[in-house]
Amino acid sequence: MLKIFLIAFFLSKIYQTIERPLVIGHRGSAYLPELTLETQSMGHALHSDMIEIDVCLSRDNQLLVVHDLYLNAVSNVGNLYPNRNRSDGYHYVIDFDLAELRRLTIHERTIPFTNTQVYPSRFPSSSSIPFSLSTLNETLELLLGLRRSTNQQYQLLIEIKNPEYHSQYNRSISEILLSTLAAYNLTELTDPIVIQTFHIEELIHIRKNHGSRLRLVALLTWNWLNESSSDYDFYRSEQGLQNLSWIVQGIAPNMELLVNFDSNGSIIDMTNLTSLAHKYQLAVYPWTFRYDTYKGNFKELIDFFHRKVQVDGFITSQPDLVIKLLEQTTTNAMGELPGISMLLYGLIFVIYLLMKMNTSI
Amino acid sequence: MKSSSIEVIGHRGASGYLPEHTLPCKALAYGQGVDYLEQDVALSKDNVPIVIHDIYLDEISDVASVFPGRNRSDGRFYLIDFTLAEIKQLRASERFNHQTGNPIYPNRFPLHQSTFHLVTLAEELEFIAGLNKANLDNKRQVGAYVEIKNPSFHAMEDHRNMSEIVLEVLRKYNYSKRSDNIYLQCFDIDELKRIRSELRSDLKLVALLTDNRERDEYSKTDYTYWTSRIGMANLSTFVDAIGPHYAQLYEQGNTLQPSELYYEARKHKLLIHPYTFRSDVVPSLFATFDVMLQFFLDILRIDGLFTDQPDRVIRYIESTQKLNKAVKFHSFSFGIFILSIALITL
Repeated sequence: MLKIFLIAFFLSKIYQTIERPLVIGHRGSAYLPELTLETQSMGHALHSDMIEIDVCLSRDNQLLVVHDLYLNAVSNVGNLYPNRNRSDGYHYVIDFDLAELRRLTIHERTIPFTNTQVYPSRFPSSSSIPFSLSTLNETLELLLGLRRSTNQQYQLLIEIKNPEYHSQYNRSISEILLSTLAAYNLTELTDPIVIQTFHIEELIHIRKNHGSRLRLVALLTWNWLNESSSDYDFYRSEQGLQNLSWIVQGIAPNMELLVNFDSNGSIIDMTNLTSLAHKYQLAVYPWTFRYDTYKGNFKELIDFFHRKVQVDGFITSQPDLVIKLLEQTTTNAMGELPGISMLLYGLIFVIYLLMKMNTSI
Repeated sequence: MKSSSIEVIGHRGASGYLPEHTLPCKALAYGQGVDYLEQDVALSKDNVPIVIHDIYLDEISDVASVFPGRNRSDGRFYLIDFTLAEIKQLRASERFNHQTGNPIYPNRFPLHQSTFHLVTLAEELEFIAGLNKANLDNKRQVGAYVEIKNPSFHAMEDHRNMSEIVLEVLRKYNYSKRSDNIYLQCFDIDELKRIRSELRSDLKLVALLTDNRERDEYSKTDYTYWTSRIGMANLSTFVDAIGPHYAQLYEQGNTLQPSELYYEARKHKLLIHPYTFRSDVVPSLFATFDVMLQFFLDILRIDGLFTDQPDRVIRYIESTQKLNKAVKFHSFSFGIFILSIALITL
């Protein structure tokens, strides 16, 4: 009798140790202007396993943590430097030195040349708080300092924006990135850094020519978007994935490459991309799960990707919400999922009844 | 999220983890789940309320290297000697000793790393308002907890109307009534009385308390009087809460008997918000930080506390809540189980 109770107890303990997929804070988090040190701190506070950031080069070869190649959606660059735009009206990061970029005030994303906030429910873009652009160095120091002061293993997922664009200016952004990381002793598979980019050949170059041992992830999308010269049709095929598995640790595909949605945002079915990737031991990290813009049921969305598609991580603007939803379906400490405990006690009871029936026959 | 009524106040933010009073530090505290973010306020030369704990700049910024020679004859760099524009040029750091250059708390955020700035009270209040708007479904509303630092020092420096200036900024951000999500605190009890009677403020006021031996050179407040029976009766006529050092809530020695101050506060229905609970500085009287929290939260049942590590406090609160729930549930289901066995066998 006691043995049965103990078995049941240990079964419930096993439930508690199942880990949830990684949760990656997209550009830090949704709650503060993207990629600022403030939103990165917020992303860490919300227990993101990783923070995702983007890097571009300035004119003087400094790595700036900024998503677009231009500055008009997130800063007052138009007011501060009225004559420094190109003929298309935009002000490009690579046309400015770091000292000039430091003078900018950053705000929550707006549609360029308007005051319209892209995500209306987020931090007010009209706010006068002097948020600023951060450099990769500042971001690394924040990460490493926080790891020390909190004793927690935060990690950084760094996207190299458009390596081919940067090559046009005779810069190897990857080389600058790798040497910046090396200056902070960040070079190994086990270091808290993962590098990703859309240009697959750049990843091959980083792995083969630079001999980097850092973890790499291949961003995947559709060819018609012209994100890079890579052939994503090939890289999403079995042969392509096998090739990737020799170079990278994972893939980060647009979530619509893993799941088919209808026009209302409801899930129809899943594709075979995840199982193919898993066949070659590639982790799968889809993007981007945004609670405030997803039209369907967000809980069902997370649930589907977690239990049916079985992805290894979620790139999301609301890491706190995704963590909460994942923990609801994974497990807990006894007392929050009464169902399991009830089931176990019920099982013991039935076994006891059966034993009793056996002896009385 | 914790659902208890204990108010967790992020002391200078989550200052156990990031440089105090910087916006990333406040963002961290907000994300960790605090109920209030704390702002210490002192004035710049041009009368702008700045969020800073000291009246000096030299232990939390690079002022000594950016403005060499701007110190006073005592060697210190005073905030009140610098304009807002100058203060904005500084880089804020984790706290260090201005003479030795060593960190005050050895295991916190490394000194002089990354880039942080000092902010104005207005900027921080706007930050809080924006975060309160941006959080999911507006469920969480984090309040402000403002301390007016050293009014008598400011008066000596000819900035006599410090409280008026601060109240005006608060008013601009819709903080003026008792029902607003804010507490206003001060170590200068006479100033609190003036804020209540002369300036007619309706805000919730908190009397910060200490020992007379711990007072700085500019303070005239007699804490021996204010913590006495008569003093507390007087205090309760114009403040809503006391903010004592936590050691003032139990008697000297090891018995952990609640102090007279504690009983007086309860008698006058004053809220008790002691400072400061630091998981990296636990008095030897308590075996661990959790044991310390257990004493104050579960035994003394204080109403709120200031902490440098809000996540630790909230984790403690949530785990005791979970434990209580689990104990209740398992007692219940085991009871049913035993009952049904008994029914079968009988």
